[in-house]
Amino acid sequence: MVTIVFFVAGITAILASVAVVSVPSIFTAALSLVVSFVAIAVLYITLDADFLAAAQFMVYVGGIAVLILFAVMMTGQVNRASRSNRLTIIVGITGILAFTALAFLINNTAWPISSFEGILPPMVGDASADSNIYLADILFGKYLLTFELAGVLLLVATIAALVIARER
Amino acid sequence: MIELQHYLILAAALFCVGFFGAISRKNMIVILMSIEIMLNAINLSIVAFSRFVVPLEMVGHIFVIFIFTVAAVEVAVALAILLAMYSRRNTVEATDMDLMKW
Repeated sequence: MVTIVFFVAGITAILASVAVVSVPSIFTAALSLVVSFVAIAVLYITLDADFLAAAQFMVYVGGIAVLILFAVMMTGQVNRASRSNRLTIIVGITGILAFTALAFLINNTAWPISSFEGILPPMVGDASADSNIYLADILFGKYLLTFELAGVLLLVATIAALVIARER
Repeated sequence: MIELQHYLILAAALFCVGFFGAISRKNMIVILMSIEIMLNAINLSIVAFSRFVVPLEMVGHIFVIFIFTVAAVEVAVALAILLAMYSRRNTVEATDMDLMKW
């Protein structure tokens, strides 16, 4: 089951991402980006990260994708083609080479896989609440200062975005 | 059975696609979208490492939550810059933004 979900979501994510960087219409690219985000949220669920899947939906699909769609519409670029620059072929070859090298390294590294099995919350079930409770415990305990700093960062960014985008 | 390597290879493929888009496109909105794809690939590999290497500590999840925050901040500020640039120079092409180019 997890295998099928992984392959469907993974192939969807890759195809949608390729569409983002290759379709001429920017509006289509933004919609493909939404598909890619949703596929990655599904992949988080296969990794037992329920909260992150929900956060991915809210932050990326609900926030970032909508912001980007607004920018596409406000700049009147909906029908204009997205051109590529002179580097396309060189960057394409570099990307393929980088992926080959990464895949080779990933396959040939002895990853320290944990031998722990079993107690992790299953994909659906009663125990899935436990990991979220633990996550909340460490987020509001051990990492509380970082959490507060992230809030300050959001406030600063809101003010900065308003100041930069203000009509003068 | 899906192992850590599968997730890492998927993340590497996504990252390379995003890299290609970020370097080879002229439109700044598409460049931003490519950067988001790269960030998503990194998040996916972090969660996979967290799941398979230290499944009980969930420290990767904490990382990813803060990367979400920073990604949202980054997009907000970048789009503000983009809109300001558009209202002044009427373009969103990265190659036209050469004000500070020597």
